[in-house]
Amino acid sequence: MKGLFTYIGELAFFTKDFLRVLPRFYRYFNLIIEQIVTIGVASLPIVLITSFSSGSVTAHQAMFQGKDFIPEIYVGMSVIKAFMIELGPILTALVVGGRCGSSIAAEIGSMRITEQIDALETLAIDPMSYLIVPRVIAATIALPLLTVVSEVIACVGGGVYAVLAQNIKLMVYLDGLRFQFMVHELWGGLIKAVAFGVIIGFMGCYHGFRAKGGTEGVGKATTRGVVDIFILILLFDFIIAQIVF
Amino acid sequence: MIQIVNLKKTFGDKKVLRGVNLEIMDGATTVIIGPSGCGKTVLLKHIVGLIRPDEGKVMIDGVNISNLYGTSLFKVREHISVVFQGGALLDSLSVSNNITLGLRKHTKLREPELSKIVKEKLEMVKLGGTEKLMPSELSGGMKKRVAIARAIATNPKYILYDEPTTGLDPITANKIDKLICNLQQKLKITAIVVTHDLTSAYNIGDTIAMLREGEIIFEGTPKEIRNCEEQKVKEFVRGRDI
Ligand SMILES: Nc1ncnc2c1ncn2[C@@H]1O[C@H](COP(=O)(O)OP(=O)(O)O)[C@@H](O)[C@H]1O
Ligand SMILES: [Mg+2]
Repeated sequence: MKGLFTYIGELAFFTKDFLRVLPRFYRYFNLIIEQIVTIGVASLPIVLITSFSSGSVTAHQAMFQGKDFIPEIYVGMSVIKAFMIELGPILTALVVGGRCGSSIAAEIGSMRITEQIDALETLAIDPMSYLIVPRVIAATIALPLLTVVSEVIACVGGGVYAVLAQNIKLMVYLDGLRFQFMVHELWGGLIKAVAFGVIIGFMGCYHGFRAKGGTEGVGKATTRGVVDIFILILLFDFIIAQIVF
Repeated sequence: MIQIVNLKKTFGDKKVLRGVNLEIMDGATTVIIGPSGCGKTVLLKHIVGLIRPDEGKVMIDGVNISNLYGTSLFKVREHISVVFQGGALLDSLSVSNNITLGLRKHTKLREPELSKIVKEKLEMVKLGGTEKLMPSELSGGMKKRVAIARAIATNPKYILYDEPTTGLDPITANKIDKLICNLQQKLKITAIVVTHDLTSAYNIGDTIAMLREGEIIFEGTPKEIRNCEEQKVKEFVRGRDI
């Protein structure tokens, strides 16, 4: 219990420091772009694979569960709704959280234990604005973008499965995608994605930043970072769903 | 002048510094020597305000750095450079960008001027032509020399070295010692070196201070430390020397 309070206290301090320098994020604008590219390149392949395959599985389940009594137009609708509301944001966040949250924690952690962060401070460069802010902002921007990609690819995956394996007419599937389309469901999902981006960037950085005790410490920071990221993603998925939908 | 006054620091229940008192004279090289884990790095980090003391203070030219925050802390730090143990070069930046890191932040120098400084400093540490290399392409000794180049790029008044020769072979270590001496003579920078390497301490120190069990137990010239009869000092000197 004492551990939990210390943890919350330290996190609060870190957050306060972060918010203090956040307004001057434009100082290292090029680093933000660099980090968006890094996160995008690292995540894109795995996001594509995951979304394509879960898109087709969703299409399969929609058909299988409703076979003979639900019209085929519902296949497309099931895929797009499932992905806009829930699967797109959460799958992307878990995949990117595992892939990039861990590498952010490891990178910042090894900078901590090799005294690179101390070196920045002695060069009178604030590590918070030079290292942390660009990564958090980059993750916050990258997540919704990747989520949109994921949703599109899932629809493609679902379509390929429905058309090729189940002989549904392409037009029927496409009509299904438009059927009962509600734009607030799209936005709701993207709001989640933004929140997940903040969580991934922030918690990855936080755990890296407080790493200590050699290489082993970096490993611990990475693991704890990913665990925290996953827990918070699931928690906020629930909370935001309550508020938005 | 740097004055360390009754500095105390405890981590958890581990008393690392138990009241360190030391004055560092301008223009000279002071070596702080002591066994591994005795708190040398902790002491060094107090001098630049990276760690804050539980008690006591560090005065830099009459300013208590332990009480400074934000921009006023950065202002004092502009005159102090640190060469960290492994060099602490930023992995993501090339040698030349590492060297100009501080300058880009604090001066309005343009690219041609910056690259002139880089070239000049790299030649001083005998690494001319390595501007484009990344830290991962450098050996341990080269990293330390780039770190020294980065440290002197901002024309500091003080330069702090954390174990500059640790982890290097004797020949490379000797070269680093020579480099530190040369820079000291050429640039008149006040240097503080913390190390557990006695040979190096004898080579470069004008004054040697010994840190043991959280206190400075000896202060004097290299000659004085060799002849010191104090039990704890002798232990350390003989342990390495014979
Ligand atoms: N941030 C810290 N938290 C807890 N203990 C620390 C911290 N920094 C240093 N220590 C402890 O202080 C002691 C001295 O460390 P250090 O100054 O690195 O020794 P050295 O003389 O080898 O440089 C060590 O026992 C180390 O474990
Ligand atoms: Mg040390």
